[in-house]
Amino acid sequence: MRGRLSLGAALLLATAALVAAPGTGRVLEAQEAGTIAGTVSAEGSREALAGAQIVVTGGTQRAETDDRGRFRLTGFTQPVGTTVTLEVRRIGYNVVRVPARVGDTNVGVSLHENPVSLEQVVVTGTAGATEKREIGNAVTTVNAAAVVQTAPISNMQQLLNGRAPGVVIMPTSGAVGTGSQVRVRGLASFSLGNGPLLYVDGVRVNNDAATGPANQAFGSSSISRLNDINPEDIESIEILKGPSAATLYGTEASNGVINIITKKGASGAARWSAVVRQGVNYLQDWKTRFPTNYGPIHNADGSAGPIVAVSMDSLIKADGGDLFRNGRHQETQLTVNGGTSTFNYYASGNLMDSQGAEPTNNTRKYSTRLNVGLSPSPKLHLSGDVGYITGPTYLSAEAGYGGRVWTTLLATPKTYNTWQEGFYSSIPRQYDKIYKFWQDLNRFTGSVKLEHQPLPWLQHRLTIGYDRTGEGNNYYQPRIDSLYYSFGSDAYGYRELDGVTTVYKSLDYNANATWNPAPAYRFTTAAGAQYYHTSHEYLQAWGSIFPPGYEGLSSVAATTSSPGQYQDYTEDATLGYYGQEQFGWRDRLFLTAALRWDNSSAFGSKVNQVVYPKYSLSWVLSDEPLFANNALLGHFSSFRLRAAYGEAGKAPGTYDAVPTYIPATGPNGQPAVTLQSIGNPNLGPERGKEYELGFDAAVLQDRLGAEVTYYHKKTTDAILFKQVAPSTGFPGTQPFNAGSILNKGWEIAIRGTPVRNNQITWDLNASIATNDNKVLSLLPGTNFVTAGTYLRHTVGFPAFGWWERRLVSAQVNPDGTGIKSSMLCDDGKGGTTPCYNSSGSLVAPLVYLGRSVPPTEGSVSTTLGFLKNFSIYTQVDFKHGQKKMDGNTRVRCTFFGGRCPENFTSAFPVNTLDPVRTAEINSNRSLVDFLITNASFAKWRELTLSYNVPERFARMANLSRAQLSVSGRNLHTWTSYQGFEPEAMFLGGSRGGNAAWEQTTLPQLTSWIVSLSLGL
Amino acid sequence: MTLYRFSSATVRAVMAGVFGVGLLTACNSNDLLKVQSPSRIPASGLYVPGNATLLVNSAIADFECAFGAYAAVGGLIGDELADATQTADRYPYDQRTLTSKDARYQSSSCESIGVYSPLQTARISADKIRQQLVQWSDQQVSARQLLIATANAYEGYAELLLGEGFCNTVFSTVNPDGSVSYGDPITPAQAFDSAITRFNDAVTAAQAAGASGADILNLAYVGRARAALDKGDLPAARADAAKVPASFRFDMTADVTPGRRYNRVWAQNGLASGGSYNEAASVDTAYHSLNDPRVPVKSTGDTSRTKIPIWVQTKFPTADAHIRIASGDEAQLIIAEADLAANPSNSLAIINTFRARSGGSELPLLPTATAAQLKSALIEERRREFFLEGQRLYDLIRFQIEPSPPAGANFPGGGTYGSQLCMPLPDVERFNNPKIGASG
Repeated sequence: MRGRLSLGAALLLATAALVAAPGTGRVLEAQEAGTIAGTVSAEGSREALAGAQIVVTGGTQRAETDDRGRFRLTGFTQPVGTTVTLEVRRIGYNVVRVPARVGDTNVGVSLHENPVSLEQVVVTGTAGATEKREIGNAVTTVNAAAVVQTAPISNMQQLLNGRAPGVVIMPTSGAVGTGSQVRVRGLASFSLGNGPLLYVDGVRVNNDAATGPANQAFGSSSISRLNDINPEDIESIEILKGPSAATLYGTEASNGVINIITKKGASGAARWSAVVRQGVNYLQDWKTRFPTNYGPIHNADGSAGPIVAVSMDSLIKADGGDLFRNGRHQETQLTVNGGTSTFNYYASGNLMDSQGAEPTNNTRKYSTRLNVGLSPSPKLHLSGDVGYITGPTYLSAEAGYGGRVWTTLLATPKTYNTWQEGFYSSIPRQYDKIYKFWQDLNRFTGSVKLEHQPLPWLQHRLTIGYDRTGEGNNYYQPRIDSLYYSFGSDAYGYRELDGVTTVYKSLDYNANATWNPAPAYRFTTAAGAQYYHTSHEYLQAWGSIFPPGYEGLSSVAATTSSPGQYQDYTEDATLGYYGQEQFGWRDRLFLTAALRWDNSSAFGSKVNQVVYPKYSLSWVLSDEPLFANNALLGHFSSFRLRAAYGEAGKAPGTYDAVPTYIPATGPNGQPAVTLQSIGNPNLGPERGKEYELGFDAAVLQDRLGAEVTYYHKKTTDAILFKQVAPSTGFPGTQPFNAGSILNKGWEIAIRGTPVRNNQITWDLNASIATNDNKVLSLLPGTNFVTAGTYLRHTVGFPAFGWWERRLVSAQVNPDGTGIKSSMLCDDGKGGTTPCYNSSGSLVAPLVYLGRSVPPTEGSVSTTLGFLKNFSIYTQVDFKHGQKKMDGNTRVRCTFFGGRCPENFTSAFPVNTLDPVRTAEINSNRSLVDFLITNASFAKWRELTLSYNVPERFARMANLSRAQLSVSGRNLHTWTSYQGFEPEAMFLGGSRGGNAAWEQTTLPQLTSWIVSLSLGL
Repeated sequence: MTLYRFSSATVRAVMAGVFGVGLLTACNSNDLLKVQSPSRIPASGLYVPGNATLLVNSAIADFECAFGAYAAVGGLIGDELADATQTADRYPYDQRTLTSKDARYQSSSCESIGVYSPLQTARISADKIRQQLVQWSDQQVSARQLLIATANAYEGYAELLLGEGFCNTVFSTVNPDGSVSYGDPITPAQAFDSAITRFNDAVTAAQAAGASGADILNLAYVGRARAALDKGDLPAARADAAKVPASFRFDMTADVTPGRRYNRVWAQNGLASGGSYNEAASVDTAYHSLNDPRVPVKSTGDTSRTKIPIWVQTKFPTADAHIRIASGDEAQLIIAEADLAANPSNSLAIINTFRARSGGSELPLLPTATAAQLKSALIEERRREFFLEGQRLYDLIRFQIEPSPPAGANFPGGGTYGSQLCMPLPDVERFNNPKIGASG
């Protein structure tokens, strides 16, 4: 622990020393010849705008506004009074270029809000700044700094959810510290990860979505590396959604790219700010939320007594109190930034401690960031960004491992008057004592960037990146002999430590040259090369059974049985180059063409290199004279058409292509080998081919804007792992480039400001995205492949579709079993067919039951500002059309003797029950379609009431700014889903991946948080 | 028109760019893309004469892993073990409701008590090196005949168990060039025929190996006798069994290396250190009170979460306890079985020899016995003598014995017991073998 904190402490200390050095900033300021200062505010409301970027046209000075909208540019060598042009940019506003005089310290700039500003600079992978108007793709920008100020955000996935159409966040467990799957424009791969690439300040970093101790075999409480990034440190997030936008990112980018841009310092004296949050996390309505279970009470002689319902009150009494607690959430963030015209810095420290609803679930994170920039000459800019996070995340036993939800959801009267006291397996508090799972984290992300503009028309950039994630995944069961009756040999102790060290290294060089052969024409040539290297080192040790009689034994070295250890190392590398040419006409028509070449260590030995092309068109029609001169079209303040086509790849798994054996122990300790993987030397990357068409429009003086995009993404050479027939001796699967998948759909984002005046501001955002997913082809001669339990990839249907027999009608026997001769199933052709043949064997075909990933998702959010200092913000999001395996009902009704009325037809006569459901429940799990149910939902996700303390009062406390807010998260769910939680699902493990399977996982928690944000 | 002017600054800029690109391109890209794989052995270059012993040992190791899983699974399906877990995908074994699509049954891991794939891997491992050994010369490989005999014998046993345990099976072949000749589904009798062929070759090679091949020779004799017995060819079975010394014993070895080297029966049910137990399974009630030293069991006093009392076997007290594959005892009982009708007095004498081992009054020596009594006594001796050695399942099948609890009785994990004894050809074979072409 000392080592972990020392690096973070060192960073903070270094920053503090830098900032606190006597007069550092002021001395530098005093050496500068001239200054321009002023404020930036929003047009209409006059609201001060923080985070606006000011640069001097043709100069090197740059600054950023503080929380009060103030900026200060220094280092002018021109005489006082000389006029220069300031270019002012801020996300969500039009760019403004205003004249200012050197020496003027009272410049006022007002920005016109434009939800679809085309001048916004976005990250595209090339060296130069690229405005949205130049590229043919939709690039979604999340103004993270603003969102964090208005919404209850405690991790990255909450920040993304509902704010980028086409980006689907699929949570798993409600346990604090656990993560979500991120899907961009649907499922594009059968077997490889479907998550996007993640870049932080231009550096590729670890984005593993499912890490942590496997606290249960199905993988519900997984920890996402995306959430390691502190939302408070983020300025903005840009999302390139598919191959047409991400071609230059090459192999690995076919699922899109998330670019995170962290905050940077602005010139001026040190500006401190602090945020303190206190709140509570709890499981809403937990006393009434669990389904009612039934079962017989055992008589004193052991015979079965009457069928009764489980009483939640008796369970609470048995556990000695509430089954789920109100967990405390607390967070403190301290930041400072400042600088001069040649140097800037941003430093932050964050402490977050959040408790879950289960007593053994909480996460503590200590993170810090230091970003510095140095411009030794007008042509050269150096920057270094480092981030560090450490702290443990403790998880509770869940799903297949038992735990509170498991033993409560499966509670049964059969265990009344036994040590289980109505719970199914053990009493919850005993789970807390015996099972300890946690992940220790140490993650360092750093980059050094050198940007050089030797000539006005030439700039180039070299970026070196390093991201090291050290995970210690811990399993600990102390020896508690008194719990042997409950947990068997688990009560004698177990200890395991799984260490995983993941290192991403990258070297990225890009150059841009521009050429204006005539005022109306501009050519931009870009080229670059990237090298990525990723390694994983695994170090594991485990052992069971601690000696009796000694409390506190907790290391593997103290175990006495079944000791083991494991060490392994894997790595892969990718090298790529690109060249791009862009032609611009009158700054309103842009044509771009590019080629990307890639090679990877993961490609098969017979695959040398792959090439990905890209073409795009962007046409700002509103700049055409036609729009200016037409009364109707003149209402458009901006209108742009765009079209793009591009390809990108997805590399195979590290050693998938290589036929390998692994060492094994032979008889009498002699060396041996055994087959590990059959490999495939022809294995290459999956290739995503995408075109997208769309427009961006703003009307009513930019008060209403829309971004509309249609995308058509086809994955070819999709890698499929064909199970090898075991009779060939190969134990597993062989990969092939064989399949293809189509994703297409619409993404619509509408942003409007119905009211904006000095008294009231009302902003309204809405987005909706559709995804039509279809498997086009599989291995030759194959119409489907199994994708998991009840899941298939079937040609002509969505990938990861649910497939099972569907019972349409049935008659049932008095014992609840179906009368086989009466049972009719869906024949898949619109009719019915007998489910069973005359021998009693199931013969009905499997039929398509639905998608496991939502085909439609969207959100509506609004912010109402009133009485000058108050604002209310809220967001509702929804996912529609997906089906989920209700594993809770599956286990409750079809395992362990059952707990449902249909299991006890002596007490619940069959004529009072649904015959189809009854027959399925009593079919020995042969018929399960009733469990695969509609999981559509809408969720009132966020609500915040904020109060900005008037400046005069804030100044009385020597503060530049103060804001108090109360926020709620996950406040209400509208759904017809029959399970426990439409958002819960397994993320890793044997039933994770791309499936949607809920089983005894904790639902999403409700949170209420009070925040106090102060500027010094 | 603006033209480029190649000033000194331009030259410096271009040089800088060239330097940047050079950082990435100066190195041979193949060098940049070379990666380590420190735990994996590339398949290329493995099958060379210098690795002959390694590869035969590998075939043995694959078989031993599969054999342990077969003994445990056979015990669960039969009446030797009862499942004591809450893990539902294990239940179809013990519940005797196994279908071709059950999840656990598809496992390729013997540690997870998968059984079909591990046996097939063992068969092919032995077959591949056997094919190579035949092509290599004695000059290239020392003790080549012994290695050929060994590979044949283990391949024969893998085929034998695939015949005994499965309703039908498939024997595909991986050719020396790596291509696969897929097999058709075959009956147990056809599997036994194939095993006999392997044992024939094992006998020939072991004899050629001389004294060093004695153990493998006897292993092949017992294996061939067992296969013949399974086929119902009693004379052939007796002829081979008669060649085996009574003291002969050949084991599946196990050791304390964690993972697949464990005695799999012990890993499912046995004494663990610290006074605890491996209790994924319990010894079935039919073996609780035999009072026979050949069936050592004890009650732990605990019950499983599915409410069955936990009993553990102590026949294999540790992870490294070996399991008998073949023995002179087995040969004697094969002779006794072959002689049931043809020479009942000899059969009775052999059976009494084994009954004397029961160590108590529960199984007194039989002075005389009817044919039915004699057969019953033989079955009982096999049940006790080969307790948890992977023999009981096929005895239940071939003698058409319904194990206890009977079909229809309540299964502790929910539902009722079924009657499925032989394991069906799993979907993982049916769906992926083009010779079968099941569409599912």
